[in-house]
Amino acid sequence: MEEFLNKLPTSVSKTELLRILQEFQDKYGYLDNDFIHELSKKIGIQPGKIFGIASFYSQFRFKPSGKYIVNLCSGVACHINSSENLINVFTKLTGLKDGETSADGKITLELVPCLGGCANSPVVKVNDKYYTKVTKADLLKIIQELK
Amino acid sequence: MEFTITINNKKIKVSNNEKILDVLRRIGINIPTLCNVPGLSPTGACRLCVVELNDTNELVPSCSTPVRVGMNISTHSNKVINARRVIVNLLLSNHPDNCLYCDKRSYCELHQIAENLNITDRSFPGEPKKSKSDRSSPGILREMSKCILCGRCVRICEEMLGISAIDIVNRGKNIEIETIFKKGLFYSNCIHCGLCIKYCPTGAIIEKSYVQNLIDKLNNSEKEKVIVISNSTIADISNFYGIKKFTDCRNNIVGALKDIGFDKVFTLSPGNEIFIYENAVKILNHIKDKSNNTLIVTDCPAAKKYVKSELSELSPLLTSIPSPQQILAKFFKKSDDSNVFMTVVTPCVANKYEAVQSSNTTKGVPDIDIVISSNELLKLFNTYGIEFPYSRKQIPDNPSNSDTSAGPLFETKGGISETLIRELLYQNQKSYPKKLFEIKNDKNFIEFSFVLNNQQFKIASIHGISSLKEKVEDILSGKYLFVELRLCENACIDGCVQLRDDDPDKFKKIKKLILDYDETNNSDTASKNPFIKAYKNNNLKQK
Ligand code: SF4
Ligand code: SF4
Ligand code: FES
Ligand code: FES
Repeated sequence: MEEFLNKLPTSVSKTELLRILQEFQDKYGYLDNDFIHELSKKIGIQPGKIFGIASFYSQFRFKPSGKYIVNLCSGVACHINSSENLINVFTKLTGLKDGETSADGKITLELVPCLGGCANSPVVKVNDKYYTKVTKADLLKIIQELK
Repeated sequence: MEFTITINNKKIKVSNNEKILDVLRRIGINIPTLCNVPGLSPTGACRLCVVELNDTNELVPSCSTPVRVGMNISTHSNKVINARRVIVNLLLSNHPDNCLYCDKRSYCELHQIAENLNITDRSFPGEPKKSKSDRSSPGILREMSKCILCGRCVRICEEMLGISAIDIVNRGKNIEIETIFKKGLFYSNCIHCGLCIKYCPTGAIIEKSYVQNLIDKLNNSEKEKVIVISNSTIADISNFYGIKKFTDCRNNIVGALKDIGFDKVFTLSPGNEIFIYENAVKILNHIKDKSNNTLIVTDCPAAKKYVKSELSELSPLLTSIPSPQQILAKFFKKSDDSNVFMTVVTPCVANKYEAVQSSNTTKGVPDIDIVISSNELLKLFNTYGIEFPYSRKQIPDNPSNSDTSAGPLFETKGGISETLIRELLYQNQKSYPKKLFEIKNDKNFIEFSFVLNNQQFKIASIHGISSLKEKVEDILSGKYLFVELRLCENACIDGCVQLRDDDPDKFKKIKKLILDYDETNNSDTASKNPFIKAYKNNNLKQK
């Protein structure tokens, strides 16, 4: 982390800040308390403010995530194609609610407002892999594979 | 540049950098505002302050719209009033409606605005917000279901203090005011100054109340019940009930508290006096040692926390004498299994935070059992049906019975400097001029020079974080012998949990009460209290 911070300039614009946060998350998985505080000292923006800015964007995580991040879409198109059922099934089978990670550290559930595949909704994404027109049976299979 | 505009059919002279709202306030036209905070940049978020531009029939927020040549404004047209009603109805649509149990009650701005707009029904049915609260701070309670997202607290904490302990987080319908990682104020960099309590228009941020706990203890505890009242509280109650003399009100309060069931009643003055005395000793030694550092003298827990966490380069300069409240706590509770139950009444939320710091606790129990605010003291009196002037007068218990006027003076703006220099001169040469420097001066930064032992010294009196930030270099360079530091711009007498009052000049009246007392009193520096003499001798013996 030190190395990461050393490279940064001492004053940054908001867009740059978002880029830095994104880069850190890509590298370390999530934005943790220590990082936000160290970053704050370096760039002179209060930690609470950094948290406020980051929390606006749903892509930022503040807790460690599992090996597999499962994105279930809760957007309008997916909702019409009963994504809510999928969400309920998922929660029933894994016990996970939005933002939670399984005890074995394998699976994190994150609901997202739209995955950009509305035409083939409902959409499910696991790490970088997309599944389209997902049925209940498909979802069961996906979960099986992850376990 | 000056020009005239038309407001409600009247010609009004304005200058071109004014916002419409500034003009309306200046000429006494009252319109509701929620997000606006005088002195901070307008955000135009709540839209309650809209006025109509008659030429285009357009509604614009007056707080953020500058005046323009030829403007013709209506402030209370039908269109304007209807727009305001819609906004307030929307704000109320998911409000929890448990106003009867809300501490803000008649002081709620939202309530007042709704009343003024004749809103008597819920016109947009919405699901009332579920309770979500942050109780982590010992002094501040945030109940976010009552939040209307005006953003005042966020801007105070960011723009006035530069702390940002709270911010707007999430977006869309999940938007809320939160601390970092949503863990609560106690776990953030909040300095517990309480300014957000003062500025929140609703009951979303209030002080945590301990009055009922106190009443329970009064009736059930076998211990000796001791209460210490800050002079700011006495002066505030004095002003509230129109009692002209500080000592009259003080004695009234003592009588009333004895009748309620307290065994001993003290003022904070002996604590202030020891604080002044100890700092004077420290400063005289500092001069003897020929140190060139500037010392920082403060009794303000919020200022101390701020310096330690945000300006750590200054923190070795703090004289680190415990605050007057804590000095008295150590004095009254000499042994661990003390038989004393101690209550402190203060104008300041940060004292509640200070009381639970590990250095101020014994075996995990705070040395001061309960801290209540001036505001809460008034509630206590109301519960017992007590009004002032009260029928019974009594002088406070020893050592408060021989208070000097340095005690109350200490709690005013510039009071640390004034009382400390008096004491330095008194300890050194037994004489001092009565009025040292323009304590009536209301600036947030005052520099002052004085002569001690033929040597000229400079000191500074600093109030508020922005003035402190500007002077960091000067302090580090050792320019001053000492600086007085307090976070509230008008010092303790204008603390965030003084009696609720709409009078913006209240602190001036309170100050006058105290200055009058000082002017007519000859016992006016810490060491003149015989108690300090005893304390001094005792200290010498111990050393
Ligand atoms: S108490 Fe002061 S520092 Fe804490 S959140 Fe409120 S305004 Fe900010
Ligand atoms: S907590 Fe109070 S001051 Fe802060 S945004 Fe909500 S209503 Fe406004
Ligand atoms: S709404 Fe689900 S992909 Fe767009
Ligand atoms: S007070 Fe002007 S928009 Fe809120």
